[in-house]
Amino acid sequence: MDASEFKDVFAAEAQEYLQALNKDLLRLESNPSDRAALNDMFRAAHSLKGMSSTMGYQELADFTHQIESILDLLRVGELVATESVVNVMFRAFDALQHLLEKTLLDQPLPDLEDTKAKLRALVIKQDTVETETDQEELNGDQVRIDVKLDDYDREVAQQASAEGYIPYKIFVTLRPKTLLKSVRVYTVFQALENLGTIVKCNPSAQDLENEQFDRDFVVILLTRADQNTIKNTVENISEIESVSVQPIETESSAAVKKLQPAAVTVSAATEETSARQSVEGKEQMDRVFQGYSRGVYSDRFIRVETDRLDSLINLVGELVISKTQVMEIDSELLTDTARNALVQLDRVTTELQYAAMKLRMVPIKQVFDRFPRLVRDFAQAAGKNINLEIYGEDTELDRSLVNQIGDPLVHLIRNSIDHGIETTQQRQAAGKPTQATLRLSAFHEGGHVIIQVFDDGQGLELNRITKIGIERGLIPSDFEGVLTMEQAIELIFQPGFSTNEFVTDLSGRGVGMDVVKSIVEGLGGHVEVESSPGEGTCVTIKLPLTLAIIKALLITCGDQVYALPIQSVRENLLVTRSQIKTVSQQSVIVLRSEILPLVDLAESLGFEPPDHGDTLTVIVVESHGEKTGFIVDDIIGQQEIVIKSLSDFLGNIRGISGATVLGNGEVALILDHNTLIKGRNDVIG
Amino acid sequence: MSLAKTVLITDDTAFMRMTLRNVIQKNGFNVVGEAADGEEAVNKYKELRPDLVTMDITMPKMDGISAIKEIMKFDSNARIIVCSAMGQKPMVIEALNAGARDFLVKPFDAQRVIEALHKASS
Repeated sequence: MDASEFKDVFAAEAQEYLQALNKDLLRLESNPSDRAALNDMFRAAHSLKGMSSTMGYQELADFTHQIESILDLLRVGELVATESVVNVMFRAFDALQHLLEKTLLDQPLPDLEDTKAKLRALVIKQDTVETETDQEELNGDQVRIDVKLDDYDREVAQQASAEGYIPYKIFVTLRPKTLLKSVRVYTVFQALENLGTIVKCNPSAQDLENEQFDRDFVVILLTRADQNTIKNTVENISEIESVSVQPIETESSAAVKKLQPAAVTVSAATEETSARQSVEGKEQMDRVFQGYSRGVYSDRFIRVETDRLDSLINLVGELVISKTQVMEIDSELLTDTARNALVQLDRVTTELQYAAMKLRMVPIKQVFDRFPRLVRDFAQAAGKNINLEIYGEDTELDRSLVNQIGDPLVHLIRNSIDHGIETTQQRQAAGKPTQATLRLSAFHEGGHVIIQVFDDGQGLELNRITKIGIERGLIPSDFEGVLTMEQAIELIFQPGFSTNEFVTDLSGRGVGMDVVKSIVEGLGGHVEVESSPGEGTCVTIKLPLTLAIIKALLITCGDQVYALPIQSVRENLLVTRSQIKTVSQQSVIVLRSEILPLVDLAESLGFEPPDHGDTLTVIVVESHGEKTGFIVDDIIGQQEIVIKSLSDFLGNIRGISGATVLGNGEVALILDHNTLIKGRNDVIG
Repeated sequence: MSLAKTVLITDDTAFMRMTLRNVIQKNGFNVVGEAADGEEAVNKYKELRPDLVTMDITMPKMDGISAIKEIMKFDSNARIIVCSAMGQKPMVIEALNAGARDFLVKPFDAQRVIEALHKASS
């Protein structure tokens, strides 16, 4: 089968499974007897295996299968999740990730022999167990319950039969002209649920409920009741014409039967365990069923290509602009009906815009999910004992922000672990709990998303930072004494301060605090650091909820209207010519004892500077901590604008980050204050 | 041969009670009482302890569903058949969840009524 068109879906889902595997392994590591975690992992691996072989990714399927076998051993309690086992598993998941990436890119597959050997070693340690597992493995492969059952059902059925439940297929026919068919079906379901668990039905529960069927339906029931009991139960319901009950033969249930006579000697021991397991099995079945019935009853989520979503958002943006244009029509010219219709249009469009924005929002969980593993690895490498707490992982923010905020957060976490958090000995000496706390939290505040990385470590080391500052030439070498906390915080954000240029696995870029700051500011947010010696450090990132619509200050320059993102604007001034001073050929103004360079916007955009007369309108813009005054013709006002990128053939234009369409249909270019100021420096420098 | 099963009929219209009584009596059951609303049904159930109850849903004072709950509270083995009109699906389901054994849909088919009574009493 040609599955290439499903590759994207496969990739996304496989990634989810891998993250889930890592997450659950962490759960298992903190509680080696966490059966739920093991079952989740087993299911994830199993699904991944099935998906991979459907896609024809044999290597991936085989390797996942190997992992699955180990998980199975752990699950049935024949292998214990010791630290070394968990470590091998983590290694195996990494290898799996690597293999997945290579497979998706159609690149040569990595040699995993090392990892495979380690996995095999885990099995071989369990000599006696191995043959048994092989047996089971074999059975597992031979299970062919029914064409109508998918992998998942088959697994559920097999698990159930291993726990002593028997899967039955029950064919029911209602009498002709049965009234309220759906309720009749409901009574059948109700009666069967008293005997066991319904795992599947055909037609779907939804169709049955909507009476989208004739008279026949099939139910798959897992139960300990026998065939006759089931048949009698259903027959005793009114308006049933006929019932037939067939056990579904799974290989393992057959194997159990076959093995029974021979197994007498061990029965005493197994009986106890099987009794215990059956209770757990029931709980597990309940959980499985809950998950399942959710799937049967309604599909609450659909997967949509992001391109489609983006084009919808874009269209909504256009609609909002058109609406603004219509709203600007002089209301005197309109009839009452038209006015009322416009009010309605206004309301609906606003709601539509809001709903469309919501579509772009995803929970920050997507980013946070990889941190438990990351923190574990970093902490282990640094030999520190750290408890990671995560709060507000359901906080939603724009999808494009989620994609970009990961690296800065990784850096902050790395900083906390490397520099903030002390070693266990140091913590003991300081009278702190030996286990350090690293807290990651996200929440909404006003129109912003706040993300905080907090550690209860030693805080910024002022002595060390002062020393590094001098070494890097960021502080005059004759500086004596120690920086204050405020100065230190300012210093760590300086380009060139970053001590160990560490490279993230994902991006391969070196990241320092200055890069964190510029990424966050590039996203329209800002970073703040608070630190208290001996008590810890808290880095707060404040981001806008969305990137598609921003608040902008509209200004004119020449005949053109420009938009300047409002978060970069500090203030607007009226300046008279006499206030302008010249310092080394650069015009400057003094604002509250601060000297600001003054630039004509027209000039920095490459136009002839016009004559502004004696009073100049100046906008103070801040970028990378530097303030600059721009002379403009006029200020129009604040407005929300929909950002559209310039098409590719225009290339990157210095000083311009995009364009927007204004209410009157006019196009306004969006100024990029960062490159505008930098460009100016380049010219001067 | 045991005695005929006793039945309590609950419906707020006299016509429906008459029709049901007619059908039920003719088929070997013994109608021991009639109730015109939920409250009366609960009281009569406690007084007469019938083997079976037919219960209309929409009734004054106390509706059929509340009456079923009351009766089930009093006797968890009560055998109640809920009677509904078309289009009362959610109520029927609620009644079933409250403990009704079976349901009948108006207009009644005599055969169905008898079948329901037999199945509920078996």
